[in-house]
Amino acid sequence: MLLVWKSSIRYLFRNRTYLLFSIIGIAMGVSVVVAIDLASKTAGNTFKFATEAVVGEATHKIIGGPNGLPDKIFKDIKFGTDVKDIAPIVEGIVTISETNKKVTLLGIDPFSEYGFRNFNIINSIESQNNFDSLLSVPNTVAVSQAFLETLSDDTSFQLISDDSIQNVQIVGIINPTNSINQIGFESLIITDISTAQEILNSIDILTRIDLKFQDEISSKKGISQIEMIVPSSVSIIPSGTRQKTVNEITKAFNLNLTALSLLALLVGIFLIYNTMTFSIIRRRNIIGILRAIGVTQKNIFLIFISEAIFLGIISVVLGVFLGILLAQTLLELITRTINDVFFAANVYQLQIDLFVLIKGSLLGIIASLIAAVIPSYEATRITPISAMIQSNRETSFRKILPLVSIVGLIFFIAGCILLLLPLSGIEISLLSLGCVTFGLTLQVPACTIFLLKAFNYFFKNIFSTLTFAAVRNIGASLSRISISIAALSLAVAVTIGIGLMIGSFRSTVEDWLNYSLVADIYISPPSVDSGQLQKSINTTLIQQITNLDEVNYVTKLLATELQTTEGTTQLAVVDSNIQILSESINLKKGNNSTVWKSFFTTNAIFVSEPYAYKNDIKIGDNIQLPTISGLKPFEVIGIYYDYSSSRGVILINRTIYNNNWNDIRVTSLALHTETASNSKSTIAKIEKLSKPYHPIEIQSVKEIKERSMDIFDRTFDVTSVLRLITIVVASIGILSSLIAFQIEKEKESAILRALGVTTNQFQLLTFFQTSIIGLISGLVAIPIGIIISWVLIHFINQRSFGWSMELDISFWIIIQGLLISILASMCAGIYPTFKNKSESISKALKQE
Amino acid sequence: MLLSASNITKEYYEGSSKRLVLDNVSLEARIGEFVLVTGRSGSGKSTLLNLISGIDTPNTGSVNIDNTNITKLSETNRTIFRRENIGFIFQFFNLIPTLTVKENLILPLDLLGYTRNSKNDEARLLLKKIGLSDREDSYPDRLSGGEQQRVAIARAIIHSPKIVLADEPTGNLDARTGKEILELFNTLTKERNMTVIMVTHSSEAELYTNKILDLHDFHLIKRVKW
Repeated sequence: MLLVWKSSIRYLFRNRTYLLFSIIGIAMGVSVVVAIDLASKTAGNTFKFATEAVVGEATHKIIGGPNGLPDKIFKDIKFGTDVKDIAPIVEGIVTISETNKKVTLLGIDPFSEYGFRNFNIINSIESQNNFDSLLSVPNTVAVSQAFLETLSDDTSFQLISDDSIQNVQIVGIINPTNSINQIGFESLIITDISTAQEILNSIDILTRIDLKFQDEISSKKGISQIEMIVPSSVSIIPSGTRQKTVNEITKAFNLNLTALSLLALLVGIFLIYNTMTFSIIRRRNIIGILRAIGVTQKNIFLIFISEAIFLGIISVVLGVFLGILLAQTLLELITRTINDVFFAANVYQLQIDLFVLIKGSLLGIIASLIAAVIPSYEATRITPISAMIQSNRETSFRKILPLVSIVGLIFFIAGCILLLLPLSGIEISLLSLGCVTFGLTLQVPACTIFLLKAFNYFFKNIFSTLTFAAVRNIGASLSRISISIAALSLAVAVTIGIGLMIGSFRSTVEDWLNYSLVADIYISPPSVDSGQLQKSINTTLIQQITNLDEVNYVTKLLATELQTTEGTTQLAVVDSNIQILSESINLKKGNNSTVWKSFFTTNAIFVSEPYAYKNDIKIGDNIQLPTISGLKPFEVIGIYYDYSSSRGVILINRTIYNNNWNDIRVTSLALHTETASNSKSTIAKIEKLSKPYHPIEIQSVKEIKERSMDIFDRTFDVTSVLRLITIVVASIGILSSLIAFQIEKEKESAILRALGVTTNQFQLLTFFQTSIIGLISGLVAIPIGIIISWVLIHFINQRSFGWSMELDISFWIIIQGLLISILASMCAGIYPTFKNKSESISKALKQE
Repeated sequence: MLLSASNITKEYYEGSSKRLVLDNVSLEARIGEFVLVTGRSGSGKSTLLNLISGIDTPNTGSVNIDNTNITKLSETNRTIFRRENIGFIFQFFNLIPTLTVKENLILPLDLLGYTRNSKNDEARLLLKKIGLSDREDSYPDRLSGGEQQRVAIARAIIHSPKIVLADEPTGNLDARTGKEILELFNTLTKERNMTVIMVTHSSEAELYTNKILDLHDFHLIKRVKW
């Protein structure tokens, strides 16, 4: 059998250009999976380690309302209960002036810290515990070695908090004391509690108090003791809720990216199938001879499966390498999106997880095997007789076409049923989308025949015989070419589908911004991105702005968070009048005249659409929120459209909020001015007024809309990269098919050229053929793309983020998809065209 | 009797219509016998060889080779039987393009599990006999048609099969080369006392045998040699 294997390997290397393109195509599919996995894992791990670094060994935490906890509570618990493992914490997000990165500032009490967090602080000069320096010298901090390396000066740096720029001295290096990953400390600044309170402008206020209980009995006892002496506004919750919140809000995002990466692999599977099919078709004669001289079907199967494994292994090695490179770029995009949309986090370095690499590799090899099983089985069915009959394979391919279409229909129906199941989660929805897409892709060969027939019918009198023959050749080689058409259609359909979804989403968000942003000027503290907690605006300044002649009315907003046992809840507190609110808040449910009155007078709230979806909230439900006088029910009287947060927001009236939380902070202002035209002069006046105070950002409604749309567009950068790669993979599929097509038609081409067809004519014919292939792929992709976008909008997005939107079928996106398809196909035709030019006619004519 | 094909009928389906190729055909051959099968194109000569070799199976009838009814064997067992007992020569040579001359030659021995030394010895001996000792490392596309067919003949007999089936072995060669090939073929098979069933149009082949069968109207008719 050795010689049979030898022959197989030599065949692969003789067709190395074809082999190379196949390998690159599959490798790119694998690389996307590996890259997404690595980047998501790195981002996820970094957030996890950062949370672990901050939470440490704490089992529970005591939290107050939006105003935090008074210092006094710590002393009351410390000296009034048996709970001894207790540590006060002041925590906040600050920006490093030099690098403009957001980091966590953690204020600790070194005397209470023992056993809580897994680090000590060493002096950068002499290795000794340097907690003392933090205590004795004001404005001193400790940072990690990695953080230090990002600074130009290793002794001091400036950080920006909401109210000021502070200069801090580095007196120590954070040194992890156990196996907790160093990465967790890279975005952390440790300081003494009083310095943190000063920097974060929260004098005498703690963010939380960490508790450590050894077991359940001691925790129950300790909690009951604490509850007896603390006010009812204080809650004691398990420490793990923070990580739970992080996991929940990024889960859908990561899952959608993984699905998109698997799609690239699916296109790769088509490519392997195509490569193997072509490889077998090309060797039908050899298989026939081998079978005639006694090679068994099992041997033939093993040979081709081994080839697929060989192809898979080389592709996987290359794919993993490419994946690591791609992951660096994707990590930046993913982190930026998470920063824009979810929360502040810094990821400095890609973590290469061996498990991810092994997983990606196995996936690539398994995909190769799956794709090769059918062609290899077909190879075993080749007999010396059938090997000689060229038309047999097309006849048998056309025979199985109805079956392929029926299988596709079954997948499609199964996908639809799965989608309509009432309990479908995101995973099931993505699986359904996979089934629907795969089912539709299996209809591509049948659609190709139909389109080719239509083309023949309509254009038979227009084109020359030669041109016509070129088109007919596509139909005559359908068994090979339709797989590539299917792969390209799939990639283009996904591009159209995602394009339509993003377009629909974009226009929905634009409409929503136009609806919601009814004021003329918006004021907030600087550098506040969506999804991050805003800082407050000075109350005197608010008063001065309100008193301006140009300002007719000021809507005051507070964006804050409440810690509950379920995690973090975003709260939007609004101080406005009924007219403005009813004009700017688009209610999905509960829209009647009594709702607005109730919103201002009773303990009633509105919840955003994602909040209602994720928490299964209906009108009339009560939500328990921790107020200063303990847990209180708030009735949901309205569900409103909101695209600012996928986590969901509770909207509450200012008066009701103040009564329950005693918090007067305001984080942003919406000014309604005399006329929109004088907003520039009004902005100038406000800028002048704000000079004595800490900086604020003043934006016109136009600017705020532009900024919001910028963030929106940035969110889809990762998606765009993945779509582009999928198109490239599919183009490589078309390229390899065209090379295969050309190899098969070598003799026919040589005859044509011998008969007097010029090289230029030949090149034109090839381009014509590739354009037709691209056109067919694009045309088939349009309905599939529209169905994909419909599923994405009404099921995937809804179930991932809770947002509803209307499908907006943009003519331009469809044309764009069609052009991409034709262009990708034509690009793929360049190499075969020029290769054909260099082929020797006599050599090709001699071939048997 | 080494080969005994009894009452074999073969029909093919072309779409929904049935096409009869062989109708109740019988054929016998003794050890060392040279049987020539002639007939017009499309008369079923190649089909007959395919049935004898076990590549294809008849609709009715049986093929017995050395007391084994190969029509009763499973596909795998038929293949293994073919590997051990039958040599094949085709009109278009059908050498494996990715193997060198020597490698093509020793392929049947390789499949039968011969040791490297014995394979090489046997290959060199045959290469010398067919006059291609200096071309053992060439690939088939570097050889002329006659040279390729010589290699094909050597490949068909290298493992000393009981029967050699030759399907128009000179059909693709000029008259002079064809004659040389037939001579070589006859010499080599006679040396090893092999049974030969040859399908051909060539009248030259009739010089080597007295047993000539004509396939006509789906039946095999023995022709008297003048």
